[in-house]
Amino acid sequence: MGLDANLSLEQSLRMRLARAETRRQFLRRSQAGLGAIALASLMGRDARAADASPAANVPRKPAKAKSVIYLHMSGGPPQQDLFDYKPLLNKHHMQPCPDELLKGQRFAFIKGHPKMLGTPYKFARRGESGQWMSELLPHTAGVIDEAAVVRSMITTEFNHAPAELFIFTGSPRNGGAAMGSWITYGLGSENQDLPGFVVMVSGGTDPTGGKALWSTGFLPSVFQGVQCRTVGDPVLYVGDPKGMTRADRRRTLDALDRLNQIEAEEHGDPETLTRISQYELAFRMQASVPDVMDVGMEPESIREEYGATPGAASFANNCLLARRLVERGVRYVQLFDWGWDCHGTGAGDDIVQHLPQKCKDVDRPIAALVRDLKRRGMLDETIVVWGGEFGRTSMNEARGGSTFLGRDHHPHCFALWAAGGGFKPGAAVGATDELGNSIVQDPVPVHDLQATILHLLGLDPFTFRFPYQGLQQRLIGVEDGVRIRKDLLV
Amino acid sequence: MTLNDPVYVEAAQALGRRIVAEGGSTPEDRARLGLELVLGRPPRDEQVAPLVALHAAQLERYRDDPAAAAALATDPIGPLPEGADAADLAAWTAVANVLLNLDSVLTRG
Repeated sequence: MGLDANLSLEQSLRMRLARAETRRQFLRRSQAGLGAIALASLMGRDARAADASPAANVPRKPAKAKSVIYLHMSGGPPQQDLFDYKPLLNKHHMQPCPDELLKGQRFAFIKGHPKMLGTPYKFARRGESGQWMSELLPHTAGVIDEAAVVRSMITTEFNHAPAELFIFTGSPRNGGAAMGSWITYGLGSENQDLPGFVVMVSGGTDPTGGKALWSTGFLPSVFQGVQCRTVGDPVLYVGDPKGMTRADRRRTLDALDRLNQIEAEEHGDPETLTRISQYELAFRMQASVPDVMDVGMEPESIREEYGATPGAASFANNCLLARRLVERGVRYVQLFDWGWDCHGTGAGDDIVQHLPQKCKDVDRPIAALVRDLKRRGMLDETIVVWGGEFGRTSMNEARGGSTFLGRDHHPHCFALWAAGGGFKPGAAVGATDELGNSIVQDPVPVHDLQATILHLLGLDPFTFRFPYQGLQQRLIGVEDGVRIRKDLLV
Repeated sequence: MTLNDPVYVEAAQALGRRIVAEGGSTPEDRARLGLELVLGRPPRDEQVAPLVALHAAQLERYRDDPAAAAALATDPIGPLPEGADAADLAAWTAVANVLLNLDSVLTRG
């Protein structure tokens, strides 16, 4: 650091000292005032933040479920073509939309006066429970009796990123903690060699909400979701550099831990301890992850059932890996499959050519997952959720005069199902009007779904909170009016 | 992960080379320079000792394994500087790998 020509020697040295002083050093030396702010921020953190043990002060109750596998169809699947059967909508196919459906509505893309869009797919009652489903999900139909199907999900958001953030953090804005982080924070992980919260992505790209969807937000960083991959290294850079053996890595980590420990003792920031424990988890993961993430370890009959292929970046592989992870004590596995945003701007996102392909990609693996969990006696303790971030319009979007059929974003109703872990097999909750435009019975807001999932895991959704920025933050938001949905439960 | 990310490994190799070139002749002085470069403040003795110990252990190990030493000292950054000792540079690369992963380096203190 050179001396500034415009400053005297003394000023210059003072400047150098000021530059050398870090935020942490400054806060440590300020006994009052700013020091108190630092203290308050530290006190808000759980003292055991450094390891992945559950937080000490979390209200816990007897639990039905131990773990969650959340299958998210990123983009918003069209409920009218999958679960919400609307004969009247089919009857009015390509007729002008009634004015009252447009009054006061904002659309992401629809302009002018749209036409109604019936479904090209045949519906029938499936399973013992007689759930209405289209022909696009024949394998899922085979396990639908295990699920509670909700046809009256409702969200406040009509764009992808906020809607996904809402589903997965309880808030449509960035900065919240992911559901998987909340749950591992509340319950801890049962396997100390694997992260408690694992994320896998398929469909060619990340969900629109991005990595914020598995961010730990204001919770301790150790509860961050860890993204695993099925092509190349299962976790990026899990392999040591060339010339470095596991013993070398151990010695470098020991030195690193020692120096970080000195740092932690000096400044008392729990995030430093978090960093130490994350490096140690990473070291253990170097041994455990390549094994658990290898679908080749599964018998061929199982791979065949899922449609899994070693080395592929597919939803099928991710479903099989989800089971392997949960089997080994991973608490929360989040799958994102991109490509459900069926606008109909071309053959790549329409409901005639594209949607059946997407359904084909996920249908068999989903059914295999539910059956496999059931066979192993794991379905009772594992919640499986399938859904999107919002629904789609009963009107044809016809963006720019497109002749491909597709639907715009629609927050007012969508379909979702949840199986296992205490969700009521065969339940059919909620209904929409005859055109599938709005809910006429038992709306299930996003926060209600989250509250119900937490409840089944033995976490009281109303008192499970974390103080941050002056608010008692909760997954279900800070406002009243949220309910645990008994109509979804056994 | 910043321990094994190729960019971080290459940066550690470069930092190791700089430490050897500019850090004086003793391992203590070199460790001190490394700490000051990454932290931007004067290091304390208790921070120096673990790095000196790591360097000694790795130097001994890489003396016995020239292939590993060459790999860690040159891949991917490139051939050794003239007259350089591969085992010593590999050991300093390991030290620099620690330095670049300190909490105070990754988190703006």
